[in-house]
Order: sequence, then C-alpha cells, then structure tokens
Amino acid sequence: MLKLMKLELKRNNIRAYLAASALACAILLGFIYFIACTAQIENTEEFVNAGGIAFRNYSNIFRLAGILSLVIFGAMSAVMYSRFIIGEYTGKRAALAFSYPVSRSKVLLAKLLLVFIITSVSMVVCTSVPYIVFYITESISPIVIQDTLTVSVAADALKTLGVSVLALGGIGIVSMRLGFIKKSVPTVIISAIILSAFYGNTLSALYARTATSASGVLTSLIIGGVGLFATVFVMAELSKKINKMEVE
Amino acid sequence: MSSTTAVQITNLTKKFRDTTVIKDSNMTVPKGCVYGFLGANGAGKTTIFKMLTGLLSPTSGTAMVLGLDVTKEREKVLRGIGSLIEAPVFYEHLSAAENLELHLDYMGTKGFGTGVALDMVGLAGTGKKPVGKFSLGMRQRLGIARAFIHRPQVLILDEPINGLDPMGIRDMRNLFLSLIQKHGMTILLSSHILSEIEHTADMVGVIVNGTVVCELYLDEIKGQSGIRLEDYFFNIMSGEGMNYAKANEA
Ligand SMILES: Nc1ncnc2c1ncn2[C@@H]1O[C@H](COP(=O)(O)OP(=O)(O)OP(=O)(O)O)[C@@H](O)[C@H]1O
Ligand SMILES: [Mg+2]
Repeated sequence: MLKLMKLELKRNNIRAYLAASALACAILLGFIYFIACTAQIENTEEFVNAGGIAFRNYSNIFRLAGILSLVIFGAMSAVMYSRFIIGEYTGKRAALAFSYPVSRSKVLLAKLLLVFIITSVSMVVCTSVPYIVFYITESISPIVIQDTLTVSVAADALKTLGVSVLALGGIGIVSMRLGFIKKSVPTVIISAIILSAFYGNTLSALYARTATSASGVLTSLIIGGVGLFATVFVMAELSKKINKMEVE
Repeated sequence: MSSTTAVQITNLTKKFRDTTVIKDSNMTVPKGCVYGFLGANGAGKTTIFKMLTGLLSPTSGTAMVLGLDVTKEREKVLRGIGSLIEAPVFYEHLSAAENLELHLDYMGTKGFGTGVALDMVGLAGTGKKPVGKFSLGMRQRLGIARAFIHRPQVLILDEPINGLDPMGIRDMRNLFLSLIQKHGMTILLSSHILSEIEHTADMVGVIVNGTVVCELYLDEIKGQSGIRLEDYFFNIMSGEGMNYAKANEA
C-alpha cells in the first residue's frame, strides 16, 4: 500500500496543492486579524445590530475562522479527489490505470488514503498555525479587549478543528462520489463547498447551543460517526464499480 | 488450450447496449509468431484487443491469454502481456524515461531498463522533455516501448505503426523480429494496411463486421501461384470473404 501511495505521489504533481495550502494558511491568518480588528473599529449602530459585535469574543472568532478553513480545505480536497480519482478513471486515462497487474481496489484505496492524509495534514497545520500566531500576539498585545483569551478557549478551537478534519474526509469523499456519477469536476467542487458550509454552520450552531461539554462530545462523536460511515460506504461501493468498469 | 498457444478466443461476442459489435468469433495465436489482425475500419479489431487486455468484458464466450481466462484472472494476464491500444495515454508532465520507470514500478520488474528500451525505439535523445511536447510518431514509439519494456510474453499492439515515418516503420519491423527471435515473445498486431501485415506477419486473421472469418499462414497463400495477396484479402474483406476463403481452402 505504501508503495502504491508513493507511486501516486510520483506521477501526480502535488506541489500546487502544497502552495495552495500555504496560501490558505495566509488567508486564514489575515482573516482572523481582519474580523478581530473590524469588530473593534466599527462602532455604528448598524454594525452592532448586524451582530458584528459578536466578534469581540474569542470563541466566535475561532468559530468563524474554523468554518472558513473547512470551506477552503473542503474545496481543495474536492479538487484533489477529482484529479486523483475522477481524472484517472475518465475516458482514455482509465486504460492506463487498468493496464497494471495490480488490484484496482488497492490502487483506489491508495489514492483515497493519500488524498485523505495530505488534505488532513494540510488542514491541521494551516489552520492551527494562524490560531497559534493569533493566540501569541493576543497574549502579548491584545486587539480584542472585551474578552480574555484563556487556554481552554484555544483548546476548544483546536478540538473543533480535530472534528472538522474528520468531517473533511467524509465531505471530500462524498462530493467525489457525487461528481463521479457524471464524471464532472465542477459537481465535486460545488458539492464540497455546499457540504462543508452546511456542516460548518450546523457544527457552530450546535456548539453555540450546547454549552455543556458532554453533549458537545456526543455531537462530535455523531458527526465523526456519520463521516466515517459515509467514507467506508462510498469506498466499498466505488471500489466495486471500478473493478467492473470498462474502457469503451 | 495447448501450451503452444499464446492467445485463444472462443465464441466471443460483445454487445454494447443493443448493438452486437463482435459476433461469435474464434481465434488462435500460436506462441512465437507475429499474428497480423486485418480488418476494415470499424470491423472490431480494437474491441477484441480490449477484451484480451481486460479493458472490456465479453458478453459471452471466452478470451484466454497464456492459458488464463482474462475475465477471471485479469491481474495474472496483465503481468504476462504488454499492450498498446489506440492512441497511447501518458503522464504528460513527465519525461519518456519517467513514464517508463513508473510503468516498471507498477509491473514490479526492471525489464529491459528504460535506457535500453528508449534506445530500441529510437527515443534515446529525448532526455527530460515532457511527453506532452512529443510529436505523434514519438508518442507512438514510446507507446511501443512501454508495451515491451517489462519483457512480457505476449505483445498486443493495436495499429502500432500509426503515425510512424517510413524509416520508423522499418525500424519497428526489425524490432518486432528481434523481440520474437531473441526474447521469445509472441506478437499480435492489428492493421488495416495490407502491405504492413504482408511484411511483418507470419499468420493472418481477418475480421469482417465483427466476425473473424479466416485465419491462415501467409506462406500458404504466397505458395499458391496465380493469386495476388491483395486480391485475395480484398475479396475476403469486402464481404464475399467467407466463400472465397473456403473455396481456396478446398
Ligand atoms: N463503446 C462503444 N459503444 C458502441 N459501439 C461501439 C463502441 N466501441 C466500438 N463500437 C463499435 O464497434 C465497432 C468496432 O469498433 P472497433 O473500434 O473495434 O473497430 P476497429 O476494427 O478497431 O476499427 P479501426 O480500424 O477504425 O480502428 C464499430 O462499429 C464501432 O462503432
Ligand atoms: Mg481500432
């Protein structure tokens, strides 16, 4: 399996994805400071009524940044799944993939695992780095003066990130499967953005309401479970389909 | 299927939705020969080759390669064959050598090695140039290299001389000969160009409208006086084929 994953890396150029991750990291960092600062500067009635004031609170800042991160990496994982899977099994390209004496299911699994690992690691790194940078500067010279940044707020943000990463795997794979029906890359990307925005909103709504950590954990478990189930189901079903696929 | 047979298809039929493209075809390719598969455009050559390489599944009948059923033991068959079907697909951003190395990695063997293989098809000087920038003929040569580099026992080449210049055609002819004589391969190649088959093949199979109508050794016809090869095949391929072939067999 490791060897198959290495071969995938060898023939697909992943530098573009790494560059995109670095860019996402910079965007998230800028975004966090942007919402923190505008919430301070703006003081008009409209702004306050529109809820802008919410961003004078650290957990809300992290929550919004978390949703943005999920949408960005959701889109990126969709592009990667499209390239690695839909692209490789569409039209004449499939003839190449199917000419190797290696089980088609194993090759598919290697591709899925590789994309999952790359997108998860980039999401964790490129989201937690802005968080940490923001945490450090806020401890030295805070922008948000109405709230205090405790370790537990930051830890919560990282925990949410952990759950989001699992969700990302499910979102990427489900969107890819939807796109596979018509072998359409735009379908994958749009599905991924819709799914991740939907998921991000649900998650943040749930977290907002469930203050107690017990139900918070339960929600995370349910979300993680649904993601895992979707992933396993799609993998098994797609693997069967690809095994029988013909190159016309 | 005897151990001296490289490829055998039996009562093979392939339907695409409602249309029957291959009808009840039989074919036997002995080991160690060049088998030329002759047929007009749309006759079904590519479709049969795809069934031999596991890209399509037969609707009925069997395709056996090296004694193995392609549908049931696809991976084993793929290990023993090399193929070039229609226009070859490559990783366009990689060089010729990198494409071949990847292929060898997947095949799990060092085969001839990329340097030797590229030299054998006249692509030794392409260096780091990405395949995306190759000409049609260069792609075809690389496709042929990829088909034999892992030292398969059977080579399945669909219109291998497509896009090659006259020198390239002659070079490939010599290459095929050496693969058979020095490396013990069997070559099954398709073409709609009669003169090409005439120059390279030991044996010919003719397919008309999805059915293999006759199989014979070229020497048999060449030996018969008074028949021009061209007329002979032209008659078979243009429909009255079967009767003509039978009349001559008798
Ligand atoms: N996917 C498909 N769906 C429906 N019909 C098909 C499909 N692929 C091939 N055919 C039909 O099958 C017939 C045989 O096609 P095939 O490509 O095997 O011919 P060929 O002998 O290779 O021709 P050529 O010399 O032009 O390459 C043609 O009539 C073609 O239209
Ligand atoms: Mg063809």
